[in-house]
Amino acid sequence: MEDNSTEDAATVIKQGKMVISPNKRTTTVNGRVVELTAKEFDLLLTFARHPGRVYSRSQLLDIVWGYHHDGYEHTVNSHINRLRAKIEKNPSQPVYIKTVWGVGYKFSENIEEAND
Amino acid sequence: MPRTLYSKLAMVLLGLFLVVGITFLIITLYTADMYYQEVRQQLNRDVARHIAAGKTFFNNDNTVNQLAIKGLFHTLMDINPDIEVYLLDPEGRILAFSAEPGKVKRKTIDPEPIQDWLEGSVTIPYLGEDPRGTDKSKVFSAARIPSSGKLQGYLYAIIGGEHYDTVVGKIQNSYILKLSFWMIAAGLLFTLGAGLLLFAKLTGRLEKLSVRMDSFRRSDLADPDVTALEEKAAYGDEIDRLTEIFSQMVERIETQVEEISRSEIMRRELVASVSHDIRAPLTTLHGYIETLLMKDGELTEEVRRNYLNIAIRHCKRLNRLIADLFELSRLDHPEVQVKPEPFSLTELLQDVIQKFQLAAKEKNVSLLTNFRPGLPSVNADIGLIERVLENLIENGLRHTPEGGTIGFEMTPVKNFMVIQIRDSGSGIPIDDLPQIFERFYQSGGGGYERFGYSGLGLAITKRILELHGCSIEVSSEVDSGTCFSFQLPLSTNTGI
Repeated sequence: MEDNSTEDAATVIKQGKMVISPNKRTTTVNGRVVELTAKEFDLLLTFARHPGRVYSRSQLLDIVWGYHHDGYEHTVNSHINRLRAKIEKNPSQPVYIKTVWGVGYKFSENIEEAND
Repeated sequence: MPRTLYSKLAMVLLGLFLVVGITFLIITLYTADMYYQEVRQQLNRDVARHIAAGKTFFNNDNTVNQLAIKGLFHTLMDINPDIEVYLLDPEGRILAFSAEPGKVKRKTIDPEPIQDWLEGSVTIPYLGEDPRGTDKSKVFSAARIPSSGKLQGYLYAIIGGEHYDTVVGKIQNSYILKLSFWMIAAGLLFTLGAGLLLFAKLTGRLEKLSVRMDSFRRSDLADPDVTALEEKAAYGDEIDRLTEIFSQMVERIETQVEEISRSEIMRRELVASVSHDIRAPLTTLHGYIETLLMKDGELTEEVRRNYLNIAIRHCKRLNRLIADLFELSRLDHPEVQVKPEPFSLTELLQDVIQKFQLAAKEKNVSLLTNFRPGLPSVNADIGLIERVLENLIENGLRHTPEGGTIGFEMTPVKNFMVIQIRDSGSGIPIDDLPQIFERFYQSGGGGYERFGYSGLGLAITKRILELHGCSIEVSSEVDSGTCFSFQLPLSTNTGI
């Protein structure tokens, strides 16, 4: 499941109006810098590296928090929630991190954020 | 009607002083009058005898010597107008008097006081009837006519004039009486003022005390029927209010003491059941490990694995129990913090259900969801609500037999999201329903063997929802299932 090794870890990722720079660990949306915590950034990076790929909550827990998380699955939900609050225009109708009902979450392959 | 204690006291004091003042005035006037009369009578004790001495009042034919008397009486009136002189016959009939006609109202005078007077066996002042008034008596002096020999009549002298009769006249005419009247009035006024001042000080402190007690009582606990009691108290004075407040406080203290002793009993029961629940798996664990140690060589691989499995199961159970206890005591802490944030409850429920999917499949229980994407977000603490969902699903799985279902429903109603979790399990007898949220309560008694269940799940659930200002309801039918239902506030700052 983990194929980070094949990635160029330093490549800047551009999706819609979002620019993620893994080296500098910065994120901008629409040119505006978004302040993310370390875990929120890791979570976003995990998603953004594989747009369209669906992650279940337990997978995200393993990838971002490691195998020795020992419960606390709700941290995934709160982090996704806070991440959305920071990057989405309307967190209740997210365009970047989407919910795949019954399965998990994914990063949208074709961003269709309305221009403003 | 006076309402405050002060005004009541002031009214009573004023009334009392008026009564005392008037009584005192009356007594003073009376004694002054008596004293005056006594002095007058004493001084003029012999006046009648002196007047009568050597005078001839009757002619030889026993008729009244009008001419001589007129002259005498006239002289007397000129000399001392305060002395009114009458000539009486032995039966007390008035024969002649020293006044203008019409002033004298009586025709006869009771002769008995005169006889007593002449005998000298009376205490002064001694009163006789006043001819100028039909109902008045006055001090007098009297003399026998003639002084010796056959009684022809009496000379009767009233001492103290008419103009001395009215109260106002008495006061106006007496410097001493005027002075004492004003002294009494001034003394009473001064005492009244001092009394009122003293009362004001005392009741002022009482008022302060009652205000303080009142505000303390009000700040203490919001009472639903406080307004009713306040209305009742508003009609009384300070002491009524204090009494009312005191009885309310007593009532409250009693309820609180009851509550404390009840919670103390609950605490003891909790400690007892916690000790039991911890000791039971520990004893089992201990037993298996000891057996493994003692019979290490004799046991087959299969039995050993079995024993180890049992041991680890009890370890897990202990772990879970202690974690739940810890969680509950954390949630019971008065400063526990709930961090509400808007989030999609649908997503959380989806993730929690995923977590239990495997366990449900093993038990052949289907988890039925009908998520409608686009449901509004709720405003709650994600971690705590996840715990609620987990507990309710675990509870459902534990009580639902193979082939059963657990259904989830979410419906926005007004400003709330109503969440229902319905299982097709064994159900809960109606008598047990109220207790299921109590700590360590387990339906059907011996839930001890059930794997990894502490008996605290529903208590934690209830406590978490309480912290969110919400409640949980349960309805159940034996052998057909149980439905838990609770609501969470919808978030207001995110659009639907």
